[in-house]
Amino acid sequence: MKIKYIIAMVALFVCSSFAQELLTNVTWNIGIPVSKTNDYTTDVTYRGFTLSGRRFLDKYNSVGLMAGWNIFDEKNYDPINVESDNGSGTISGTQVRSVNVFPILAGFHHHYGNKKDMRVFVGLNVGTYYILQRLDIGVYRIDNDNWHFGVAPEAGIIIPISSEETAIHIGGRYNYAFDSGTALGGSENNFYSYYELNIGFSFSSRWF
Amino acid sequence: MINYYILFNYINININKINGELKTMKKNKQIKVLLMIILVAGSTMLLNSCYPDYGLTTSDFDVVTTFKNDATDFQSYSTFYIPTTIDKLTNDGFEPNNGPNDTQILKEIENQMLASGYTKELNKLAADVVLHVAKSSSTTYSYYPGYWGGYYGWYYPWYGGYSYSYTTGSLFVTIEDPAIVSEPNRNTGGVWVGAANGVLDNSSAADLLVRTLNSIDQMFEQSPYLKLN
Repeated sequence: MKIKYIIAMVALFVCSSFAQELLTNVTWNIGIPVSKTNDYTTDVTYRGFTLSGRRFLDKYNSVGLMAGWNIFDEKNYDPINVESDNGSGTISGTQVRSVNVFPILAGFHHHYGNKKDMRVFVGLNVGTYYILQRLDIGVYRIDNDNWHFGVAPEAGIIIPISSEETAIHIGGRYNYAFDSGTALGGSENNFYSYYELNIGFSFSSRWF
Repeated sequence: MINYYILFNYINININKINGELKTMKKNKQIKVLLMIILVAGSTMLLNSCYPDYGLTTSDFDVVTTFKNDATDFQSYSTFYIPTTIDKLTNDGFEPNNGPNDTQILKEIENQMLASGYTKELNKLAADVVLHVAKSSSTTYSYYPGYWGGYYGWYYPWYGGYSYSYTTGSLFVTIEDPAIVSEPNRNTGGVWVGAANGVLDNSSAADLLVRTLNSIDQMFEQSPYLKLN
């Protein structure tokens, strides 16, 4: 009999935990490289997405996880200058430069407004970025990848549609991945930063 | 024994009561699933085209590299000697080799040296700098393992692996200063080197010559320090 009560207690605890709102977000990202990232690839990227989930602690505050993928790339013709101990040189040719960014972040968000209404949110994400920097020139490919610690403050708006459980999600996020390892070419100044415009849907649920 | 089925249903019914009508939930869930599928599928399609071909042509794979000895004062030179043949680079060193375009390649290098302000010297021993021109080619063989493709209606097609190869050619132009050649110090006297590398496949002989001549021009264009005042 004792085990029956324990299982019932656990089940009720799980149920009450599930009763807290869970917000699942799926967004398409537009990325704008800035600072040093912009030195390598200047083009705005339209190739990226983010999946995230937020578990509400109360009516307004949530904690969650997010993961995504953004690809910055461009064709470039700028000559590359190289230096050694006793000489210097130049490499020219068509280059395809790309930066693949995979953020895996934990976040805290505060939401303003009620669930049924339009909600504005602000939040801070902290975690790791796996960044693959790639240079294709001629028949040669040079890859450079590092794991970075990073932060991503964000703000946005959630607009309910059709039902209170489905909403349009529009947000903006600034990503900053701190120095880690060396960049292509050996520079230790290897941080990345970019802005994101996130457009997608939010799904409110108690079932996940 | 606990009847887990009854317990599960008890929990289920209570959750349903909390969240409202079961039918409404199913409908909402369907909308959610549909929207998620659209977004994920859309993102997948976008990311599948992550690496567009950028409209690259064969000439986009041409690379020109130049390198100089920083201690060299090119303004101290005035005459140059250029050979009449291009050597072929082999595993054992160099061997003379006359290709169909060699005369035009050598002429282009000579013209660039003249345009840079140097004077041609026919006597190799009397020239301030001696040019050495060499070429090489190599073929790379590779294998692409294939992959399972996206879902097409009712099956996942297999795109089989295939092997491929490409041949690249390189042209090396070296400027050597005979005055600093030192065998004990293993100094060959090289003060500047220009290298052009490109894909030889899918190019006609005429196209290949144009690309090679353009690469030679680029070697000198990206080395403005060679120009005499």
